[in-house]
Amino acid sequence: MFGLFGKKNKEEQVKVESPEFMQLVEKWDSFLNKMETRFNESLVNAEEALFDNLVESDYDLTPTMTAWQSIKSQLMDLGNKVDTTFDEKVKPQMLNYKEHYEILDQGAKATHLREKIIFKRLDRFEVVLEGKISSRFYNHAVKFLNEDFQCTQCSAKIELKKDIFHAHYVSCEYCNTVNTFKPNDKISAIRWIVDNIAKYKVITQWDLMEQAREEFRNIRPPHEGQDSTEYTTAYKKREDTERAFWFKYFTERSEYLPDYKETIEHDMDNKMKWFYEERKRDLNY
Amino acid sequence: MEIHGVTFKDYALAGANLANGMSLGQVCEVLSIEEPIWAEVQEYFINNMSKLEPGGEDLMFYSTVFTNPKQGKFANVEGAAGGVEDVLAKYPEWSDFVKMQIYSAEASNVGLEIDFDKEFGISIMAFSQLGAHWSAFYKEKVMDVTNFDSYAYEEEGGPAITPEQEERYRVFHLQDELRDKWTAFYKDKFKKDSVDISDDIDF
Repeated sequence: MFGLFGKKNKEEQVKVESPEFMQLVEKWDSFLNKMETRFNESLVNAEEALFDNLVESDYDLTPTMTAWQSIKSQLMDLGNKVDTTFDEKVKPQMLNYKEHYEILDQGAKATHLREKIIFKRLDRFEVVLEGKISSRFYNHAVKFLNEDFQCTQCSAKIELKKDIFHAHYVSCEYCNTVNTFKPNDKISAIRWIVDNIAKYKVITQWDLMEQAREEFRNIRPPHEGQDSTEYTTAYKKREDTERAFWFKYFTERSEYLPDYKETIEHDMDNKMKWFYEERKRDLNY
Repeated sequence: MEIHGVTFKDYALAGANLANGMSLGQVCEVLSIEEPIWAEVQEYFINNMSKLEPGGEDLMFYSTVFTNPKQGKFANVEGAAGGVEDVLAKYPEWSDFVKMQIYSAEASNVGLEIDFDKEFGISIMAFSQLGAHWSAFYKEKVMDVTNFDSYAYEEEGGPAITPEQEERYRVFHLQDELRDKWTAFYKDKFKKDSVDISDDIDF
């Protein structure tokens, strides 16, 4: 009708991107692909290098974890480089052909790679890596509990429990003398790495929890009077997955530290406290 | 909260002195317990600390114990860590602490652990004391002072900026300046040690 609006649409349809701009987009996409590939390759290399480091250092966790911090910093720098490359090199060139608002989607590609791919995968990688390193350390260190420990009174061999990693009293079953077992540094360190092992063992629940959090972040809080079903359902999913994660995690941990079996409920309450405070503020229950 | 005659405050003081290099044997001697009992004490408090009242006396003590570990049962013990005043006498400026903080972070980024004793002549514990001191300073000067409402100009009938708010502004920006200054310095220092794993990829 009137031949006005259709004309405008037709003009938009025939609008062709300049070849120079398309070349820039292609170059930018290629850069992003290379960065993502490098990131993924680096994760594999990092794992191998850190396992080697653990063995070479005779299972000293300090240099291995220091090396990991350094590698992590390099991996995060990849994400930062993507952003600065867009701001300093890509954007100024694209602005020769387009308006600022027309290249927002190109900038969003950098943000997506940095936030949703590099940083997100790095978070998960850290859980897995620390879990694997800690498992290897555990398997190495726990052997020291099999070494001979003799009664100071009658020299009889005393069997040590395999789930106490700190100094403790142990009675000789032949002469009843109470002996003091003092663990070496490696046995003592087990106490502090079992958390990593437990977290790694429940990575499936961790994934589900992170997924529920992500889904929740993508939903806008409803305004007053708006239907809040979607929002409250997302809250519920978060609650269920977070509770499931912490329950599994503390249960796994108590397999290594039986003293903590009794405190699973209490520990879960502590971890969930922040969630319930947030929900109270948001939904008033 | 107490176990084997050890109160939470004793436990906190023991932790602070252990962090400053006091031997476990000496700590146990001060607390009149043996190592296996210390292990039980430690597990008990780690596991029950969350039951303490947030903002209560015990947790407040815990948050400040590193600034003065030479008190209570550790008051007259030889080798007990000194108070924050000792390390402040050596490093009185905020810039000193920020420098150490950034040095440590940037070194870690290139896979190096810095030796505080060798580099600055202080222990990690003393560094923590400085951290607690300057955190308290920042809280008092910035976080506890209401920011000046720039929309309510004095000329428009709004309240005038107070001396505390002027100080807040100064301290707030000083932190950024110090961080920027030392970050630039240590990034440059560790330039040769840093690795860019994508230096062959460019736009």
